[in-house]
Amino acid sequence: MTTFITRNQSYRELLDEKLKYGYIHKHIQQPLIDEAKWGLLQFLVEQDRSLTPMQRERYLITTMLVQIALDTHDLVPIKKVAETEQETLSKQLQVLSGDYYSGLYYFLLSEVGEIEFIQTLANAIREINELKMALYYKDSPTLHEWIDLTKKINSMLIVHVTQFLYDDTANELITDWLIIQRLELEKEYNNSVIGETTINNYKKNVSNLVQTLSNQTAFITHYIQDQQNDNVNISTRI
Amino acid sequence: MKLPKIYGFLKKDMESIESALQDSIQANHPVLRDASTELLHAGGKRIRPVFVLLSSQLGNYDLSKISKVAVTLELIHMATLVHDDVIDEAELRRGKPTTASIYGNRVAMYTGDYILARALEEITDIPDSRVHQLLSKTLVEVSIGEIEQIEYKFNWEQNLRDYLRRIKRKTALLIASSCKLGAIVGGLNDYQANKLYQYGYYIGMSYQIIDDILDFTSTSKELGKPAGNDLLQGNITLPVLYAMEDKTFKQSLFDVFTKDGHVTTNEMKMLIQQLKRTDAIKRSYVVSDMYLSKALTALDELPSSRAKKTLQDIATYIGKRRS
Repeated sequence: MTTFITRNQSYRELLDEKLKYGYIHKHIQQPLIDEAKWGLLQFLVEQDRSLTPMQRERYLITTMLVQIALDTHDLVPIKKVAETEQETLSKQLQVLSGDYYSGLYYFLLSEVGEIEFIQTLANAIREINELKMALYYKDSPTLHEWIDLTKKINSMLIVHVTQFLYDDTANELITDWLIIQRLELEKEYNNSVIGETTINNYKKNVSNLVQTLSNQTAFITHYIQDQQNDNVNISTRI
Repeated sequence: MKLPKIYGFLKKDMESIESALQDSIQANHPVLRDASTELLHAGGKRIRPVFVLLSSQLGNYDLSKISKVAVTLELIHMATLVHDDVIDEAELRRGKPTTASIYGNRVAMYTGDYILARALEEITDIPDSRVHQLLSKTLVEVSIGEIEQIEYKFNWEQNLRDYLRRIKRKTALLIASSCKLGAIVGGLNDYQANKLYQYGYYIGMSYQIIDDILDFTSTSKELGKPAGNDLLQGNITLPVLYAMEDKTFKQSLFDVFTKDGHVTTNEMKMLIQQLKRTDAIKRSYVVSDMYLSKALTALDELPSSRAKKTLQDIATYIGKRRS
């Protein structure tokens, strides 16, 4: 009998295979996988007993491809003209690899006739880009405003997938838990100025939500509770 | 005769498509809305929607249904263009400032992603798996084509086959898919739909070859960018491949592109003049004409109609395009 972890490994191999594109990764770094989202997504698709193994696999892989496509496009430098040939090539491949992953998500879902899920992910991408524009044009946002928008951008894709799979969604819990993971990651890698107090406030909110959410979302609250307790490593580079 | 006149009878339907396109990009964020609208109004021949409509007219034409496909194809084309301008660091497209030059790279990326998402939202209203399998495969191939274009830049060792494979992905597949999607949604049978796919593919190949020729034979004013710009960017097109068979041209080309420092305007002018003195342009037109002839043959077995006649006229028009 396969476990969550062994299935996770085989899904991961599949994702790696889809991401592999020799020329691109000779010149730019392989994309980062958001481990918190990856783990939560696997959990969400595996909890839905009505899904076939193929659906679980495709939903997980394609949602991550979309997340990676969006994240890759965020890496395109703001400055209009690159200064070196390497900078130029790297920018060009960041644009094109993001487009390639987007095409791939559509292709993998079309192959198995998952038209409704294609639409779900497209809805999420549209909304995420609206929010990214709102954040980009926000003049001197307060920390609260910045986190509020970042929280939504960070979780929008997973929230849409959760809504697609389940009627009762636990949006706030998912959003807050994912922002904790994101802020801790920022702190670890970028010496982010976001302090412990902010993170702890979200943690308190998550704890409260875990206590109050309905039975229908109990499996999500249990998963998040377990993750909080285990303090799992949320970032690894593939 | 100008291209829009050839499909003049579609005017009303094309206005309806234009309006649907406008409606489809009404983003909530004002800058996203403005950037998308400016991109839409920057012109373009809307050739993909025209192919969708004409192909569909060979079957059961239902504008409300086919409009979704036409809008999707144009949105995908727009999304590609806005990202292309980030890649090329282009200031102008069709003589107008690009999204990246007005708003910066970040907004151009968000706009492209937004428009592509809108395209997929539109097309997923059509619950036919064949539509999605064809379109998604095309999207992946187009992306691979774009990556290959970067990979093959300044690669003087590439051959005719490399070039043809690249333009197939870059241009021909999306036009071929436009025709076949129109056919599928119009209810044509598989055989007819495949014939229209072939027509679109051959037309796309011919169109791109002529575009590549015009890069050397048109003026900067006609092109809206410097003549020889493709070569300057390192894109080795059919006229260059043929001209490289001439030793003098090949030597000049290597001298200009392997020396230190930027390629000057005068050096580009000299190379263009040398290229024109070879038989490269003439031979490139021969290849383009061969594809056009195949496009016309692909239509042979389709029933006679105004739409078929228009597809034939478009092929003829493309073959005669000289600016």
